[in-house]
Amino acid sequence: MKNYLKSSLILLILFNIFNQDVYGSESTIQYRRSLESWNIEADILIYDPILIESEDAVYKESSSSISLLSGEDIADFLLIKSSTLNRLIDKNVLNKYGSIIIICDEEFVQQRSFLCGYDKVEVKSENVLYTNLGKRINSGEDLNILSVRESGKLFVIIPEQYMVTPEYAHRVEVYFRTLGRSQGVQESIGYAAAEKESINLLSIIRSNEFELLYPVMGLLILAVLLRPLITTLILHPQKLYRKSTYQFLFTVFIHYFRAIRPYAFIVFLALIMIYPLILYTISFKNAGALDLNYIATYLKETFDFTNIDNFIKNARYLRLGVSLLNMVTLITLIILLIPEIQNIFYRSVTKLCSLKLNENTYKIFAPLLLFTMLITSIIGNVEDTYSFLVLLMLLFLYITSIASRDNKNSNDLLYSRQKLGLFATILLIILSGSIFNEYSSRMPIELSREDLLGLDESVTLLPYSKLYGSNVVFDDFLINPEFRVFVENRLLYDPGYSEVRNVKAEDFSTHDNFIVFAYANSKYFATLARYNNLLDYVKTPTITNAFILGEEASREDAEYEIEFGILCYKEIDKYEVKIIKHTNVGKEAPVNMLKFPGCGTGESLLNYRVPTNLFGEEKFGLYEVDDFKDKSLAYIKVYRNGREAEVTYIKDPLVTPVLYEFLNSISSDILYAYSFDLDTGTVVKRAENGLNISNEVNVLRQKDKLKNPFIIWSDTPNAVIKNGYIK
Amino acid sequence: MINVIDTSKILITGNVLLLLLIYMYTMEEYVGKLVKREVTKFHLTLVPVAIILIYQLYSLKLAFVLSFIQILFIVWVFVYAITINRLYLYWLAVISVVFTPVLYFFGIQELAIFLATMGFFSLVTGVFKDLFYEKLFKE
Repeated sequence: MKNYLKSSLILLILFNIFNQDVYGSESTIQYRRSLESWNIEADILIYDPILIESEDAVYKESSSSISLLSGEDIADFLLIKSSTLNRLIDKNVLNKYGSIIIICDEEFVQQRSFLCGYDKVEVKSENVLYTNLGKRINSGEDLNILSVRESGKLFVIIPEQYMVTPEYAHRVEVYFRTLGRSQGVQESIGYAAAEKESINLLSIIRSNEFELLYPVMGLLILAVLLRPLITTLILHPQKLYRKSTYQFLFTVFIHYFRAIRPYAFIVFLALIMIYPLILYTISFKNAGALDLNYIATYLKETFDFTNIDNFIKNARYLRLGVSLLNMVTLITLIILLIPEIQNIFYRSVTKLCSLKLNENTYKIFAPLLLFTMLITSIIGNVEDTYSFLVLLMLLFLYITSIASRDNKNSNDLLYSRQKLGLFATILLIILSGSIFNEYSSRMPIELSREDLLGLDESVTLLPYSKLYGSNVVFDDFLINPEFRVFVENRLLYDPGYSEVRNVKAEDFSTHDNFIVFAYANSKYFATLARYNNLLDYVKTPTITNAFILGEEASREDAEYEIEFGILCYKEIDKYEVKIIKHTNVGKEAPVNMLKFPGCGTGESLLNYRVPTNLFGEEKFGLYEVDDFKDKSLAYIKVYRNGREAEVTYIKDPLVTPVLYEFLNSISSDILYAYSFDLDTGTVVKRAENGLNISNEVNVLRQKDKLKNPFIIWSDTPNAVIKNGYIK
Repeated sequence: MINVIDTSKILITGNVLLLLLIYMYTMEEYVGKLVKREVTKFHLTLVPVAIILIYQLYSLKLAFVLSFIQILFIVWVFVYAITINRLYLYWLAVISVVFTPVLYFFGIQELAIFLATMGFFSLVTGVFKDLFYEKLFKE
């Protein structure tokens, strides 16, 4: 059976005579890129002539309708999607490859004994060993791929779902990384084995076996470094109070570096000679030529030692190696430089101590420093001026120490008249500083007037963004239009009502007249999830980036899948679709749901169904698709135990800012406006001739409730406001 | 008027005034007699300086420690720089200024900016030394 399977696979791929149009896909390129990032070089078969001219293409082979998209050399692997298998592929092309990866995007059945579909691969034979990638997310069933070898060719068959489900894709990555490392590819490598093989350096370093090693190593290093100090402490504790002990310890420390300096110098020279060679090779390998910019970026990246963790995680061992080399170089350089720095330090201290001040330095420079310190301490506050104060104090200390040594600051330093002058200056500084402080605290803030629209405009199309300076009062601006006018998340004007009451959405209750609106959706979903009473007003049958499930849908014991329909009306690059769950207790971290491989313009609607355990909780959840590409999401379907569950979409305030309006009674002249992300409510009353919107904006600015810039907007398209005070 | 001066200002200003008093008057003899040890003006100066530093450490904590180490290093480098032969400084400035456009040309802008800043500091220190060294110190 096994042999039959192998033979049929080879026959199918090598000798089928195909006669249809050829299929090309952006996703194939993206899968190739994924493989590339897992250290698997693969060529692909492609049709789309535009894609052939893309940056990945170096040359195309075969004059038939299918072309080979390859790198400079023929890669080890050929990547094919199962939807391509019933089309023409040149036998000579296939013969060039030792390994063929088939991604099953369409169901592919062979003699009823072999089935490869979007979410599984099955062979009806007990002799076939699957490569097990662990368990499925929901059901606990085995997650298998098929890896068979025949006539020196390796076939790896992977259902497409494994490539687009983030959790599964990671396991496939582990498998391929293992495959990439092993020279001879073995049949049916178990996932456990793969996992074991792929255990990265980081996990080894952090494993229990090494738990004791680090403290022991630390202890050893500490013992070596502190040996003289500890010896002194044990044998002659009284010496710890002597200056000479520390001088001796310092000398020992420097002596140690001096002793290893010649070796460090040889190592440093060797490293310096190796560097050009390494960088030249890396530049040629990665950039294709000697690229100084690339080398500079590479060095910058590898000299940032915080990246080491990432290099290990992503198995970028060359970068890790260069990074460690850089570390060794730096340490060698420090070893080389420490005795030199010590020399400079010693010479400088000796020189600074031996310097002699001029006659007038202490007399003039010292009081100057002190006066500056006095002014700084009176006018400035501690947080802003402490570093400057410390700088001045250190300089003053230095001058005083030299003056003390030379006895130049004795009592005959200043005459009485000079002391009097100094006192007068001190008094003047204190007085003027205090007056300055008092004046600046009492000084009224000067307000400047500014037009609401700026540049003396009296008419503008909404929305309008206003950037304003500090301490500004806006000039009067009368509006009386036939549409609503909002400022940020507040409704200021409605033509049908003389009074508008802005109320927090959290305090929602029904009134004769009310609207629910959201200006920006920063807290929109969170508030909806927390206060369910608003949910009924924001449901919509149209697809949006947020949804809730029907009450029946959320049960803990069910298996869930989510299906994304993605419209490829334009070329979309690959992206990860994430979902954020909002509950009544807060927002959960985004969960990667789908690794969308990207699509070309030729594909109209793609759908990907992936397993998930996001919905398996009984508590209420509002789900927000985080990375929602512009109108590319056609639908979202949720399946519970294989059956489609009820999905209700939630209105998107970016599309319809006024989410709901209930305008029932004409008797009431008050409109309640429920808004999200509102800290306090406001009441706005307008006069008969309209509303002076500047008054309201000025009040908001005074209360520090106005953003800078702020947006004046309307829910009516192409709305224009005009200043009624300007005729 | 005093209401505009907060506690930190009173403490720091008071200590700066104390520094001024120590500078102007001979207190070291009296203090020396009091503590029965030889006391210089420098020793007395250390007291208000220490109070100010401890207060800043108390109010600013780690920010102060980090900044103090930095300032100490900068003061040392600066004071040492103005005591060395000024030709060193000018040569350092020349080397930095020459290599700046070279690095910029090769696209290593960050290093070029760093070198340019170094060149600027070398020049400023050299000029400072030329202008003030002889007024402050004598050989």
